Amino acid sequence: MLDYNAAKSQLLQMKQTHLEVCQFLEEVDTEFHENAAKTLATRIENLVIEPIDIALKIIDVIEMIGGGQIPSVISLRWNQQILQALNNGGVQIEF
Amino acid sequence: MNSELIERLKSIEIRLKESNTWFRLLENYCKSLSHDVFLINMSLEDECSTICRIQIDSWLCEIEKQQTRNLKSDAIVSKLITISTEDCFNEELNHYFSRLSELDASIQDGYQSGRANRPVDGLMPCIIEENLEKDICKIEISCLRTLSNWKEWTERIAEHIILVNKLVTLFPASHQFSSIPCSISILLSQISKLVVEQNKLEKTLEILTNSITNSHEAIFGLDVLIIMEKLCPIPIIGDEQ
Repeated sequence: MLDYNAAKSQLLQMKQTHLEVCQFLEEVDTEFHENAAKTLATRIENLVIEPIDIALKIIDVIEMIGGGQIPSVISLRWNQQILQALNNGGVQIEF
Repeated sequence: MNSELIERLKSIEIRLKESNTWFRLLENYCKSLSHDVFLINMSLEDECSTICRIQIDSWLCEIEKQQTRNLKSDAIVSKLITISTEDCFNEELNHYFSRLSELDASIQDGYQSGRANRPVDGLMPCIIEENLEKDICKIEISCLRTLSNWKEWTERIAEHIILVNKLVTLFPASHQFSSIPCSISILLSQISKLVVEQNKLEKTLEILTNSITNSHEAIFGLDVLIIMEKLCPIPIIGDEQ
């Protein structure tokens, strides 16, 4: 079974890192880099931060229900989503 | 000699009546269990509960056979007691005595040492503790209550498993009942897994659809649909049943 507490703290850490990157990219205002930086920021939000948010919400619900009380059919789906968010938020992201 | 014989016959009679009470108690319990498994089977429509129903029916048939043998033996013992009291034996009665000798030997060997005796038709193979009788009565009474959710069904099945496991230990391997409670216990454990899963589905659905505790229903829309598809109706007695 996945360690939801560890996953949650890892996801929060990743979210914070990516939010900081996005904030930096949003602040780029040089004429040559502005468009590329904003596009990159949007892509990070959509591809990394959003799945992390969903994974965090899933973990919230799991904590509410109790780790061992998730139906197997749902548990499999949710674990996949959490693992995907962890992978995409780490080094495996492809832009 | 005659008074010793009468005493022995009376002891057989007592054990037969005691066994009859137990067979009736087991029969009533089997009917309660059968009723619960029937309701679960109607709801889950799975193979385990279907096979479990068949096994319970087999057990009921075996109990009925034992009851018939018990009543026959009891009638013979009663008649022999009357005949012995009036001291009017004849050789034709030897045939009946030989039928009772097995019962007598089994009672003398088993009951007196407090262990399971040699299985003889119509006789319970051992002395049954009072606690078990109370447990059976308790579960029979609780079976009258209509359960309103899968959590209560999980608890009910767990109670049945505990009781059936206790019954398994009562019957020696050579007894007609021995394998039936064993298989019922295994099948109930399998049913329990399915019921626990239904309980999980029910609980998860409740949390996902409760707008007070959950502020992100949209994310879980697909999960709610999956759960609703997998969740079976709670077993209850309908008008048609």
